[in-house]
Amino acid sequence: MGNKLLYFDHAATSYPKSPKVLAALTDCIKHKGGNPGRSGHALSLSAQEVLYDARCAVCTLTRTDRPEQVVFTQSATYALNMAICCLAEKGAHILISDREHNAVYRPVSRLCREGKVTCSVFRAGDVGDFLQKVTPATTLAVMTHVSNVSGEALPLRKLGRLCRERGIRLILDASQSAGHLPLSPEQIGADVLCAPGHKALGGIQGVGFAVFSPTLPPLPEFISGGSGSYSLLPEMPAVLPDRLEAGTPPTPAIAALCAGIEEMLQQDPAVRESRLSALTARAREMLAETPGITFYGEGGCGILSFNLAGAPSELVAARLAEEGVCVRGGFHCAPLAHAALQTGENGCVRLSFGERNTEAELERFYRIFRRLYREGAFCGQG
Amino acid sequence: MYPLLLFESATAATRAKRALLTVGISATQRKITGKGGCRYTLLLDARDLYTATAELRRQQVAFEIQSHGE
Repeated sequence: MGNKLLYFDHAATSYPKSPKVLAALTDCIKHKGGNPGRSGHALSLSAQEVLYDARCAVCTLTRTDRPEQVVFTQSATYALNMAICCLAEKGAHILISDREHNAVYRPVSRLCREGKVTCSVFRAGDVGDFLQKVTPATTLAVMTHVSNVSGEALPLRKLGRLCRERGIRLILDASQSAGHLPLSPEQIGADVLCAPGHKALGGIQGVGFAVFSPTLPPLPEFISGGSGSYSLLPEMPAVLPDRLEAGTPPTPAIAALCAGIEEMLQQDPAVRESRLSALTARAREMLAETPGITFYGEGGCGILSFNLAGAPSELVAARLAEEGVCVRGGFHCAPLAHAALQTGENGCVRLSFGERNTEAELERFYRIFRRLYREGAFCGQG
Repeated sequence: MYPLLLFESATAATRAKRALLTVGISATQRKITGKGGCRYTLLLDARDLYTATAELRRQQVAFEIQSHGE
């Protein structure tokens, strides 16, 4: 079954993982299985080295130079919740874009429901709308780098500069861009950058990270527990990363992430992205021949979303799944983006390509797609 | 008596250990208990102390110095 699968769901998680990533994972479990930062024996210290190497890899990826500012979490969602809760002051007005994932929309909405903050949504790509929605109380903006639905990138250089000029803290959700686009929180003007380990960075599920600017004031506690340091204190240690890393970290997943980042950094990003763009463009060209097709956005970072007239997106995805094609239908946990893109109650079908996908796989996909379309398999059922 | 460098976190201790390797100093990482609880340290040869502290200050790694009777 595995060999016959056509996997075009890399925006959800990358698959399969590279041999180097799997080797790093098993090596960590077999030989570096101590609890990092907890004990002084060799296994604990070697696990600590794994974490440190991964922090350094994240620094290289994000063009930063403070490994202690890299906080590992279980996911990008966790990292975003943490960053939002740490930076949202009581009474603050928060700006988010209309392309945000629920990892941003839900925590901000919860803070609004609790009466702690107020929030406005600006149109992604519309700097004027952003400026119009800034108020004297706006102290925080949270925005995605690249939409997980349409693949379009927000004009972050401009938005980041505007935030900096107005003293607005910026949290960047790099879930779809990490591993595709250059990441530099300093150049963008982001105070925190959050990303998952298991998408384009090639790691496994179970790890994400947040990179905090060293210029931020002392951060509040987010979750409390063991840190391996200052154990007699009733509160978390004051310094990063320990302040925000309570509990045993997922060291094997972090080792895998480190291997994934290092492998990615060895590639030429221009070659990788131009290959991915060509694949996405070719897929669009093929699908464009289908009557009644609507595309959403221009497609970037390997993402191509569409709908077929009269065909529920989940039905299209299900029919393709029956043929061994892995794509995603529905709302992609991004209701704001779907409202903005006007996909209605149908959501959309999303193909998302990865670096290992080939044109031959795309051709095979299209043959399956055309046959199903001719058979009317996408219509008539909801 | 050996000099012992104390750090705020295991991450800072590992960073310091790597930094010292770049100037040819090999330090032993230890966990100790003291005021406030568990701390991570590097145990140095006394003759490396000056070079080590200069390098850590240059790389902006915060530390404290203690002596160790091992």
